[in-house]
Amino acid sequence: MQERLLVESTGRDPECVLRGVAGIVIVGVLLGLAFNQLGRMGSPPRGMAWIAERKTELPSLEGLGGAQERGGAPAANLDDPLGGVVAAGEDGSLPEVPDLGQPLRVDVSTVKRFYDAGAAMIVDARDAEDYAQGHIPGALNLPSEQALSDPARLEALDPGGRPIIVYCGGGACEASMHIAEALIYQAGKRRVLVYEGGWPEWVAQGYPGKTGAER
Amino acid sequence: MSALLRHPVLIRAAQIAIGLLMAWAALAKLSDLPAFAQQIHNFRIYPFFEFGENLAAMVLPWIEILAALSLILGVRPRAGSVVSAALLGVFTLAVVAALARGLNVECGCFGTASGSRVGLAKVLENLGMLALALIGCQRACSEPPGERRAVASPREVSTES
Repeated sequence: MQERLLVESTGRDPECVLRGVAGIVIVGVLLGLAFNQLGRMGSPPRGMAWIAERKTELPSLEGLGGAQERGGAPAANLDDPLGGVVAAGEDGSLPEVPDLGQPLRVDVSTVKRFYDAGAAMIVDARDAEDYAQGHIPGALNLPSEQALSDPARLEALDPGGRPIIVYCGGGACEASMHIAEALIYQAGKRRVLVYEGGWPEWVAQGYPGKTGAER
Repeated sequence: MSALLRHPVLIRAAQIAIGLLMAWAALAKLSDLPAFAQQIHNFRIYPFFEFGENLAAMVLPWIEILAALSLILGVRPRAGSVVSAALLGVFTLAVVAALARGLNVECGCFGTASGSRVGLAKVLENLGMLALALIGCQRACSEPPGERRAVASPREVSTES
């Protein structure tokens, strides 16, 4: 009898495990959908659309508004101080940066592609001391306080037809946003991108850096 | 060696270890789901998956959390191990596929916090965790071989009844 019980126990075991697996998967899916739905009903809404938007439908605006699209908001939300996200194309090519008359966000991998290709002017909006301790090679140093009080310096920037990428210290740093707005609204520059991750994210990715003051 | 790998203490330790790792990974992903969805997108698993990116980002962390709880608390831990092994298998395949296509993307394995990128180290890390999960999938080696052989013989079952 004892042997029979053991045999039955062993025989039912895979079935028991499968039931457990099915339970974990089903409950996990339901919890995920419910959690997201609750987030979408919250204020401000935080959930995502269930079905991702097809990101290849806007080839000339690749990735524009990607973050907003995932949240179900319009692709180009002009109420957002940073109107959208510019990301590298699906095939890894450089994106066409649209001229929307306002700064756009750009992510680290796209900044790296622009950097590798030398296809953008990169501006470091931190103060000279931080710049000297480490910056993206080739970046111009435009400390925001000095640059904002000297519009002529911003107007004199010549990106040579390339977009301008502005970064600062990441996190709560707003210097890059201030410089980007000044470049567009005061100095009349076009296609200005804000790299919000900034120097800390660039370093964390293991990308190259350079020390020393601007020559 | 086989008996050692099926030692109850080793199996339980593997289950708890993989449970803690899964819990960490799940919480990191839940902290920024849109970023996780973008990381899934970056793997470019087309054309099969383009519309499932958001759904996958929504449900995967919760499945991971439930598997982790099952492993850590010891409630149906073999089921939790099987789920973890299946997820790790899929993640490893995705990383290998990304590597084979020369993609330099963020792994997303532990959310955006780790910032780790796909590479050989990530494949080895995943394989190590997969091995742990597979150890946790095993039944403890407690029954004598004679009793286990009875499983393969339905006739013995019927004669007993």
